[in-house]
Amino acid sequence: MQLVLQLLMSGILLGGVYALAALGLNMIFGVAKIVNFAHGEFLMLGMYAGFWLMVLTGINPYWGSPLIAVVFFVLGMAFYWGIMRFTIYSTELTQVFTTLGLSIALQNLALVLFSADYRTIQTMPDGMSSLQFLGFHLSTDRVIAFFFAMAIFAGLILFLKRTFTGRAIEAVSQDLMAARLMGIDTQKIFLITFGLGISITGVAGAVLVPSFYAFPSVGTFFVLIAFVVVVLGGLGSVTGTVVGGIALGLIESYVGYFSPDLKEATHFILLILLLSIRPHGLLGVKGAEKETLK
Amino acid sequence: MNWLSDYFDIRRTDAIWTVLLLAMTLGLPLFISNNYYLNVLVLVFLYAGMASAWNILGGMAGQFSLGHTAFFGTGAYTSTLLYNYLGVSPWLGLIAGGIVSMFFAVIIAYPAFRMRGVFFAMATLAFGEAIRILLIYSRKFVDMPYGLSINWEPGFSRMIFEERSSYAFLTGGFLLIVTLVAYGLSRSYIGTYLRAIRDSEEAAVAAGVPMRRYKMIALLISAFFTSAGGTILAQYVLYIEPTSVFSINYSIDLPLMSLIGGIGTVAGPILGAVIALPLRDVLLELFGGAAAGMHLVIYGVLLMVIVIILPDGLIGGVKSLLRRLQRGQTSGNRTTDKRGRK
Amino acid sequence: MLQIDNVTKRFGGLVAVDAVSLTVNEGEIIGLIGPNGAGKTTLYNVIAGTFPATQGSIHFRGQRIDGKRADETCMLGLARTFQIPQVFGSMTVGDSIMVGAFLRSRSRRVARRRAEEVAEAVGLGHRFDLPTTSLTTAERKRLEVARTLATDPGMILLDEVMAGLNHTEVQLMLDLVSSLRDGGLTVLFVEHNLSAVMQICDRIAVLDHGAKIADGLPTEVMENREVITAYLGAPAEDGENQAGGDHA
Repeated sequence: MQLVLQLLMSGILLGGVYALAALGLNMIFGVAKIVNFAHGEFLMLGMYAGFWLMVLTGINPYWGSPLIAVVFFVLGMAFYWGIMRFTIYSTELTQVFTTLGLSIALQNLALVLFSADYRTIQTMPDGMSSLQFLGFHLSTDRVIAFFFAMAIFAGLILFLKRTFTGRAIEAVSQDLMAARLMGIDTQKIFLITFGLGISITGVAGAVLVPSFYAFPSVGTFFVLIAFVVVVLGGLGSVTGTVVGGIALGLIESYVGYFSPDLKEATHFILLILLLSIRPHGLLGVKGAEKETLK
Repeated sequence: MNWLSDYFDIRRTDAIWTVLLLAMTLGLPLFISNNYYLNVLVLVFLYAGMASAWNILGGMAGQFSLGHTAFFGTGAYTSTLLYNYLGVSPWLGLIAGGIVSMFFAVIIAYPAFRMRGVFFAMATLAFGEAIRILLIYSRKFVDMPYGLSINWEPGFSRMIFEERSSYAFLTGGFLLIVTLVAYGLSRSYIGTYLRAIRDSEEAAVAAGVPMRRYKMIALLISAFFTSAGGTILAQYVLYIEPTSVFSINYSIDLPLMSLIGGIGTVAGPILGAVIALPLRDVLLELFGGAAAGMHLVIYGVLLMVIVIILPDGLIGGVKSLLRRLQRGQTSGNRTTDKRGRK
Repeated sequence: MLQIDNVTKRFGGLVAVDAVSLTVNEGEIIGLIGPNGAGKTTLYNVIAGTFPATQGSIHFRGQRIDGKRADETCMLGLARTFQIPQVFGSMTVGDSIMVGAFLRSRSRRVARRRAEEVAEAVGLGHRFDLPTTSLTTAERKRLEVARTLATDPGMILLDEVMAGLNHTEVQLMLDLVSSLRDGGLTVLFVEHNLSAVMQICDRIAVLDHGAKIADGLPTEVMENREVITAYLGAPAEDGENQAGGDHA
């Protein structure tokens, strides 16, 4: 029983982290209908940002996250303005391969700049790296990352529901044409969405680096996780991303305990099963998977 | 011959392409003796053949798979295991691998064909990854080394050759066969059916096209030839391991080459392979000295630029350029040629 | 030729089509009309095999077709058009029509000849080698009809083929449809354009709130009180309930 609960706790914590890692992907998909295959690389850059910040200045990624958020917001806007702006009305194929091209470039750029070494940082002094909570052992970094994830989700939902810009973003995600006819500047909305999406992804990467190794091709691993989370939770749904992340975290926690080697395969088998049984995800909009995207 | 022109749309310009292709596949291996260039040639032929195979499903039928590494690796593994453990000739292993790959294709088709566009891509991507992981996992139960080497014993029946030019003929022949099949499909009613499915599934079905059957035909042919490419590569490099032959790079490179050349066309994937592979080598030559990976940074950026500027590939680009020139001459003709985007 | 028995279609709690029965005889042109949201398009889609009926059955030439896929129904000789023309964007007009023609012959030569005939018949002969994307809306509607005709159907289903056409184009389309009937084809129309329907149909069926409220000769139907109420609202009340807009 103790074991079941321990796995439950660590599953939920891991799930929160996964959800955060997937949120930016889902947001950009929801609004611009673009699946960003370079998503994992932005996450990887976020991990390196967290790593270097700590190594060079001694500021741990948690305190440094506002700075990383700002930098990645700008990076996200540049990503849209410099690249994706030209593909927004192109075929899906163009979008997929534009982002794949970027993914190849960024991955190798990281290799050039940071070498292929595996990097991680220790944020907690010895003896504080794990927490005792009701008799459970929990990694302090995971707990902090989990609270980061929850705070970001809450903030994002408030932003989308309560601010004018946020509601404009929702409007564009529901119906681009109608939003444009209502006088919403869709270019600006896309710009903000990419900024926000990449900003969240950068912070996600930074808070992940204490518990996951950073290396140039780590993005490939995370982009697939993010796909699973997004499909599990529902395409374009923010709340769905949390649900999907936690569901995956739990599955991985239990499967990983009994059969660590199958952990990774579970992701993909789950993804295929889900796409075939319930392609719109647990909380997603039905029919999204059938829509031929712009 | 009359029968041929009844069932296939044969055009006069096809003869030029045929001559070019034959000269390339059968002529170049005769004239190139430098081992470095022969190696490039072998890889270009092999990739061109596999990109053409991918293109049957991804380009003609519009089901863009990102999981073809599953078929490639299955081909490499099936023939190598059969050869190493049972002494079966790789020629037979190639067929066996193709059959196993088609079996996998049927399994993935059930869920994947219910999805469209980028969701199909994601599902097939996951499939490719899952197969690799399951293969590595299976070593817990079967006694198999991580990597498999094939002993270098030249012999035709063993599909191992002393001369590199023999491999160029082998891969050239492979390219010829795949191209012939792709051409045949493209110019028969099946090609028209596949394009109809790609353009509008609803309208295709309403016009009496049994959609699933034709998607399946495209998938099976595509899987078979990609798998054959895997067998041939295994016989060329004589060493395979899960991470190399089930690498996601194959899943990305094959569609990429089709896209660069001109997706959905017969010549496109060949053109794409002829450009992309040497391009990577040239970039390596130029920038490899700067830092490891530098050439791929530039390669990635170039890809983005090409894909954005020429969404219909080089062939599409050249065609629209020609059309624009023509229109310049006969000004006043206002027929729009913009492709309808879905 | 086509027999619809007691067909009901529910979407969750909503009853879109409520126990509708309708028989179409060979060689007839029948119009299916009704105000917006009456269930015309739903019934059309059930007949065409887009989605299955919740209850009831549909027979075509004696064979049960509800639940069959659209390509199977097409094979049996019942073909449909789409309200919003679904053109094959990468093809020429000729190739698009050949997609339909390949159903009866795999030979390109035969299919091409058939496609040329059909293109000529619908007035797209001079557009045969042009890309489909260069066609006007009216031409696209004709292309819809052409692709359907190329499958050699015994009966065709036309979904709002007049919508979006100007007066002359409507007239041309009417001529086309009557020439098809003269060629022995059975036609079922879903239409908003009442004057068009009145001119050409042998019989009209009216749907309202998912149920069939009238079925008969055009003149009879137009004088039917229930039909007038459905379209214009009850005369005793105010005139707010105008006939619905132009698109379903």
